[in-house]
Amino acid sequence: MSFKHELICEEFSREMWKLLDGTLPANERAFWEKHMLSCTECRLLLEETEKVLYVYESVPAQDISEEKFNRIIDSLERPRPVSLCISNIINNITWLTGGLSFLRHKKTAFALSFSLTLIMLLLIYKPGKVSSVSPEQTGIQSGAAIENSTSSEMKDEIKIEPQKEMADEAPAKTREESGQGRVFIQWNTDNVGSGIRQVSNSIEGMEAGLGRSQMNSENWMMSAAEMISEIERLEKELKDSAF
Amino acid sequence: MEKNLLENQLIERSRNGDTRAFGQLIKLYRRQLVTYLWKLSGSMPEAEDLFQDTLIKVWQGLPGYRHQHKFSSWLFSIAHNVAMDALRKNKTRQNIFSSDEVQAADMNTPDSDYEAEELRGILNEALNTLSEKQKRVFLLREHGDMTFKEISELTNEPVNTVLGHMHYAVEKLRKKLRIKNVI
Repeated sequence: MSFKHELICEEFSREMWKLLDGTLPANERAFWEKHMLSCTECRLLLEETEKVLYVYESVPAQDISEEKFNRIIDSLERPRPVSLCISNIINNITWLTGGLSFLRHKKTAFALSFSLTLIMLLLIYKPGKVSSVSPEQTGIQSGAAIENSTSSEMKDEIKIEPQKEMADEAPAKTREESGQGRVFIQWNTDNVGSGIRQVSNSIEGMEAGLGRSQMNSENWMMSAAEMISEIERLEKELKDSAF
Repeated sequence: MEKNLLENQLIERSRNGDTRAFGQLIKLYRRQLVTYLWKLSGSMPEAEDLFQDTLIKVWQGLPGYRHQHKFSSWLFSIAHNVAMDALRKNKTRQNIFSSDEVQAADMNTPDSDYEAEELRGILNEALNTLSEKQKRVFLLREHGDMTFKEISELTNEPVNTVLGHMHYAVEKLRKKLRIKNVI
């Protein structure tokens, strides 16, 4: 057999499948049918391939019972739990184009929850503007002093600004007393209006009680001051030991 | 043509959540699908599990099916992936049919007789001599009704390579059948 003939026969072993499928163009089909007239090997190859496939396809197919099949179909009605498992998401993307729609819903849900969380965080940490009450009235003269004597970054001042009518009683003294690192609660009534005046009145009414709390807060302040000095002392000791 | 029309109608109804329509749709390919999974996995119980997994994935993926391929090709590509994943997890599994398995399988076939059983055994034995790739291509071609181009895309191999696998698969089957005097 010539080399050219061998190449043609090798090509036939591939093209034969298109012949069996009936997908060969007419001119190519004619070419191969003509080739088989002169090539016994290719003709036998086609015949035996057809026999093998015939025998294979003659064997009855397997099947599952109707009962099992119906059970599987019925189980599809039950809502499947939403799985946030990453592997499920990946599998959906990989196997199913429908996984893309599944992923879209996940993205939307994630974006929504993230936005809501962000909004909540902003609401919690943004200081509210309520009313202006003088520090003396509230008795929270120096406020809740959250100290970090070594770090100015921890200074988080929420100032108490006095009401307008009490502007003269500016908390300058309070500011002198507070020093660095003290946290004040600043009430600003500029934008609040009459409702705040009511709140102010209520707070005035609580003055007596707040006087006690002022004393307590002063005691607390002293405790805080002691803590601050203690922390400063320890830091100094640490520095000295380092060197 | 009529079959295509019916199939498209069933697909649309299934997309709308009609499980009965989905059942009817799958019934069109059920036997081929089960046989394919059975021959690939080597076990009827495992084939049933793979069949269930396949149906679940097809049901979930129906919204995304856009008729880019024939439904049967899409169905069998999902079945193929499900089976490959399962087989990968269970690499040591033996695919050789025992006589018990052949008999158990025959219980599901109402029209089985001794000759068919024997022939099935011979063919399954022959299939087990194929490489994984040859077996995969042969089964997808015979049961999945997929073109070689579709098989090539699914298995990520060139068409000529796929044709080569098919050629050698048939060659091995032919030799086995000749030895057993079937052909």
